[in-house]
Amino acid sequence: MEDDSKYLNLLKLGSERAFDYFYEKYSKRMFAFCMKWTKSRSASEDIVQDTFVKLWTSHEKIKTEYPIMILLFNIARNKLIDRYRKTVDSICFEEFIQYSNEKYIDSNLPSGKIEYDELCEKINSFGKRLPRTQQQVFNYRIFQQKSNKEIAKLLNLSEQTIKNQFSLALKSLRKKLLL
Amino acid sequence: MDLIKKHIQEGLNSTEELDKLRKLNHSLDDKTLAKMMFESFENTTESEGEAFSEDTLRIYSRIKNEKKPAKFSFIKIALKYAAMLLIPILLLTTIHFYRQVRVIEDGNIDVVTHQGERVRVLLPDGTHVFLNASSRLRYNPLDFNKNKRNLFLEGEAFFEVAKDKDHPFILSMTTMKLTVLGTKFSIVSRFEKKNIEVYLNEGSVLLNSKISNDRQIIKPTEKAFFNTKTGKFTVKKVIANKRYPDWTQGNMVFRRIPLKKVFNSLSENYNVDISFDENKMSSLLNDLFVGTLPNNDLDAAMKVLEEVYPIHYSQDRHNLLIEKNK
Repeated sequence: MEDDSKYLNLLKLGSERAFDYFYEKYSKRMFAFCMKWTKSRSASEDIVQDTFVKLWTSHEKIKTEYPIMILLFNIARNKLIDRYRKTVDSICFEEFIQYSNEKYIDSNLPSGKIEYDELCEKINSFGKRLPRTQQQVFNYRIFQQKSNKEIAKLLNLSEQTIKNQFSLALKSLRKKLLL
Repeated sequence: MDLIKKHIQEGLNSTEELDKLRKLNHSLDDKTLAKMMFESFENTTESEGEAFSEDTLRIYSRIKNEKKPAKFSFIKIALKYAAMLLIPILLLTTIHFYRQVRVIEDGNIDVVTHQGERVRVLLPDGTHVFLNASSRLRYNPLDFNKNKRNLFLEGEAFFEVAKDKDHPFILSMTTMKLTVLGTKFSIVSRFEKKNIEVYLNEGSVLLNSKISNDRQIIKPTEKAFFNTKTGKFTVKKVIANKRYPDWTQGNMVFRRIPLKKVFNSLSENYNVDISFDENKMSSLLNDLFVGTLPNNDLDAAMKVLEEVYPIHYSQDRHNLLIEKNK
């Protein structure tokens, strides 16, 4: 930890070597940490990159009394909390959990090995191939996280219709994912 | 809380568990969440991180390639080029690699800046040139200092010419030529403009038209306008111009300036059109900005503003669009 302190002072003075030292020592751990909470490689990449870039661009303002872990966390904090909450609330994540836990009825195919990001992409692109109303409902639920009630109002349909459309969409989606 | 632990460790098993986690999250405030996250961060081991070394390596190269706000890139014509061109003598110091400098086949050196870039160039004779954005300075180092010091300019520059009576300093443009002995002057010669402008700080210059017989000598604090169509010179006396043009001086410093005006300054300085939605951003536009922006790196300047304000920008050649973050 003495080294950390020494390098932190150097970092404050603008030493690129000190930056490299901290990157080497903490970036992987930070990445692993972000993955645990967001399950998403792209979110973790974004957070790690953003954090270290900010660490560098604001190096003059570093408060050297604090340990680097706290400094790094403080920078990452808001983005991480935001992504965590978004992940948990998302439909993609719901599908991910189902998929990882072999809850698909017709599943005699290996499941649970797909990455969360990959699944999200499949879901995103899948939506484009649905029949019109299903697609609308699907997109509203997935991308704008609107409730059935809100969508019913927007599309001028009954809430029950919305529910039905969405479950139809999900059924096709699951079929597609298993292929 | 155990549910959160499950989520970050082995992961949830069912959508029922997910529902519970969602409810839990919504009831937790950021502060509490942050505490749990920090604990988790401290408990993440190095070996857990090993799985992601490829990812972090990739991120590292991305970080390194991000443009860092640079001060004026200083180019000293390097020993490297001398060797390439088989010049035994001359050139001074260290090798600097700058992407603005190219050596072309006929032995000429081209210093080229693009939009938003500026460089300072030290020529072999000790002449100091500030080259503004979107400009090109060309000269032949083999030739330089032999009889004359010949250069070609397209764009905008400020020169501090080293005195050398025996070797006239001749700056050529397409339609006009400028001869000096030793002096300080500014010149703007852009092909889209009708006039070439030369402002003299110190010394004297002789201006010769290439497309007519006209010539003109100007004295300090005089500004000459050369009409590139007619080949005629006109001279104006300019009141107390600064020692150095604004654009040659380091950074733009703002002390409690409304953001709208900051955008205007950027627009002028970088010669870009900046557009933004006045209505959507009205509260932001009146905010008084305190800070320093680089005057030679537009991306860096915009990144600073993106850090301070909830905005993002996109650029397309001469147009910059600034939008509020959702």
